[in-house]
Amino acid sequence: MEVACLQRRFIDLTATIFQQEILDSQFTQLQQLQDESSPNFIHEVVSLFFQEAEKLLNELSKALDQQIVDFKKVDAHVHRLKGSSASIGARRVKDVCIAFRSCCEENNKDGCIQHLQQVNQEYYLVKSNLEDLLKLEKQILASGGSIPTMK
Amino acid sequence: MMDVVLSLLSLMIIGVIVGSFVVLQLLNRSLIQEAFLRASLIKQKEAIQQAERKSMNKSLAFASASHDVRTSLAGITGLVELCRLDATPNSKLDRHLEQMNTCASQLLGIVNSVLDTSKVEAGKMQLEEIEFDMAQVLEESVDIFHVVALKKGLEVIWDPCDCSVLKCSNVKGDCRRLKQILDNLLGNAVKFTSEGHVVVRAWAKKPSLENFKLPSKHEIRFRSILSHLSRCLWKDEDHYANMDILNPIQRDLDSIEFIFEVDDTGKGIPKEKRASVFENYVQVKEQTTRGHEGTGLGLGIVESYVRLMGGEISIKEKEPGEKGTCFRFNIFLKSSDTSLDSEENINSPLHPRNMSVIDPQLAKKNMTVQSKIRAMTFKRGLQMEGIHSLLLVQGETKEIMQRWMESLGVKVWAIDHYKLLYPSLEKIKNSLCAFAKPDSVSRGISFARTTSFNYNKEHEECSSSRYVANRNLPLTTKELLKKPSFSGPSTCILIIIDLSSGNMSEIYSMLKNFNSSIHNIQCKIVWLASSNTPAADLSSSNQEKCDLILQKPLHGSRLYDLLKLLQEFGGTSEDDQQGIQIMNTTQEPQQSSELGSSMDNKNFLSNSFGSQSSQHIYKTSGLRYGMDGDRPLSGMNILLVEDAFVLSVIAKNILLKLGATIEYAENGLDAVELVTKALQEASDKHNGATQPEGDLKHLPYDIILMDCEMPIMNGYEATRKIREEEKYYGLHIPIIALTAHATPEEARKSILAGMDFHLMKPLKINELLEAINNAYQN
Repeated sequence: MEVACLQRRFIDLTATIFQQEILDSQFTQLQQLQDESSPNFIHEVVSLFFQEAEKLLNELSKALDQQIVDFKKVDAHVHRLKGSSASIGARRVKDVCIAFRSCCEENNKDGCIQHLQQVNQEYYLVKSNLEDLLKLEKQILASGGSIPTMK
Repeated sequence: MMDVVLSLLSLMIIGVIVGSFVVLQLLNRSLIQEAFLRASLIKQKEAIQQAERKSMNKSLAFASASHDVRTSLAGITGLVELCRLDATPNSKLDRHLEQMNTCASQLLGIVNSVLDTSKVEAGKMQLEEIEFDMAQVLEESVDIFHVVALKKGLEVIWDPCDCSVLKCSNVKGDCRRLKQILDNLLGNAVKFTSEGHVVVRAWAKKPSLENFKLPSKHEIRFRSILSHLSRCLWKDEDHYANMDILNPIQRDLDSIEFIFEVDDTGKGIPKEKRASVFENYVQVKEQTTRGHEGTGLGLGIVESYVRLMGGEISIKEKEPGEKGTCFRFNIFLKSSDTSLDSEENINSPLHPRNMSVIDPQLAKKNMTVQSKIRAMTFKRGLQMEGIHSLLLVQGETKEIMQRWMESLGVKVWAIDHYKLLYPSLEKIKNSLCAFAKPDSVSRGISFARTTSFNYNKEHEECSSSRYVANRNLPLTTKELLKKPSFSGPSTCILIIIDLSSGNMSEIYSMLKNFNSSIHNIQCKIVWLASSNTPAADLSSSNQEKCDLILQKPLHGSRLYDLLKLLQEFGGTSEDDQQGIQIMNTTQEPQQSSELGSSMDNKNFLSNSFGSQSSQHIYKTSGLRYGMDGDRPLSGMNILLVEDAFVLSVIAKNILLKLGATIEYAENGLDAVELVTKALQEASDKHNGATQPEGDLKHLPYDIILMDCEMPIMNGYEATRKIREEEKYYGLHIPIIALTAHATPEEARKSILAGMDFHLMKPLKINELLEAINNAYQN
């Protein structure tokens, strides 16, 4: 596919992502850290995030499946998820985590389960968007173009 | 008898009939008139309604048009951005594109402001409060008009006067409106001036105790009694509020008064029109408006804005014989300069105080820290005596440069023509050597100081001091041939030459000859380029000995660069080590000017917008390991304590990029172990010799970044333990807490535990640098 077309798609996708606050300015900061000395930085960080998030989500669903829910443990997991999503700029995931935590404090099992579902949704949303973004980047670079930077 | 009665009766009846007929007619007429009146009333009402509808439609149409205008502007901005991607950074193209960008955003501001005018008229205007850099705002506005005025052959420049604005440049206020005020005044000035110059002057005054009288107890009581009375009598809340309004500014001890003058040499405004100029909301029409149209805001709006900011605007009387107009206004803004005090910068010889400045990339993100550092540099001034400066510049720039340098204590020599360059250089050299060796005075060189030194720092109107031209002084070949070798104290000469001064090759050869003849004197050369300097001149000047190339107009950030260059002379600093470094690096400029001659190499300090996006060539540093442009933290050893893996990877990457070396601990317990071990090792090395407290050289880590919430042992606990350990060695490692929340409770917890500073997660580069800066200033 033509480079310009790819680039346009990249710009559109980026614009949508930022508009819908799927990712925020923290992600932009990370993008700026990637350069010749660390060309795969974003890829590394994003994969790390996926790994950690999926692990945490598994743990969370296991914990909430129990008869007697250990809310402290759930809270700890959500806290970690919040931290990692904030650090790569996954804004919506982070926001749901914040609400999730208040349910944990109230020991509200149903609320927690609901929030877990929401977190799952948001996570998969950000995951698919990031994967698309990274794929587009690769394609652009492969066809010899340069990644358009957004301000 | 009966006939008389009959005839009377009939007469009466006839009279009545006639009368009623007449009355009926009159009634008829009035009815018709009423009908007419009613009809015309209805018509009038309709006309009014139509007029109102028209105006509604006008504003609606304008609103929708403004949407389109905004869309188009956004389109332009986007396209300019795309173009900038292809332009090589810091090339002429890039600079022009950046200016285009600024113009587009200014246009956007205009559209918004016209919508604002209605708000102003309704009295509902709210001023914004954002932090901004006054020096940068002034510089940006003046730069834009400089380019515009260049076409007319005018010089537009900002005179820093006593540099007070540069010293307290960080303020909080309504940046946009201030820009509109400046742009409007500057626009008018440029429009109405066909030759000469436009100068913007600015001072900052901290409100002194004389300016506002602290009310004595009696006054307070009186005022409160009055307000109580007014409340009882008038039952009017507003009245009470009015009393408060009387002293809003005086209550705010944090506020600074900024006084501005926009002075031009144009047509002038006759006395009788001066009042009306502010009253009309319509801009004063000018038949021949070429080029820049002005912001569309009348001076009336300018006046309203100025008044809202607590000040007043007026037209100042000029000296008789000087033409043009001078607008003068003052505003009050809150200072946000609280973290840098003059006492703080003295006691840190080896600390990386200056690091944030040199990095070009981060500087863009790091504006407030940078401008604070700039303010500090201006406050520091020059410690060195005996610097001479030779100016080969024209016009207002010369006057301003001269005043500024003289206020710094530099002896200034100004010449008009490049042919006088060599002889005046010789003269300076001789004067220096005459200084060094008393017996050489007997050579009988008598030369009048060619400049009239204006040592009064009070701002005056441009002094019409005529410079006694060098041409009149006796130039004997004897003087030129005598090349004394002396071993006096090293002094310095700074030569500033405008690239449009004339025959560049002659100038180069003169400079070469001069250079070969001086031994102990340090000589630095600064070239002034402007937007219309031919590229050939620029590249050739690069190849010659060159320490700095600055863009005209010479103000703001370029003054800062110049000041730093001056400060380099003879190692002006509080630290001998630094001085030694500088002495050794005087050779560097020679080298770097040979490296690469392309336009966007490191030497070229362009960027008329004040952001330090190009690298500086002088690599003198405040850091013991010598600094690289990109790596302000190079040489620092940082301990990162963070449990979340993703965060740690990101933080590690950031720190590595900034040039630091990193050690990592996963939780508080590991961190304490690492620190304890390191402290022990360090003390073993020095065999228990008592170290002075806080001596950097022996800190195992320069900074510890400590996450607060971790398993096994959290950040607070770990910090407490580390502080206990440190007591044995009398050390204090700066610890910066990383928290997920920024509540005051968290802040308190971190301070109680012994941390020095706290940052919010996720880690942001500029915040990190600022925190490290602050940590090292204490």
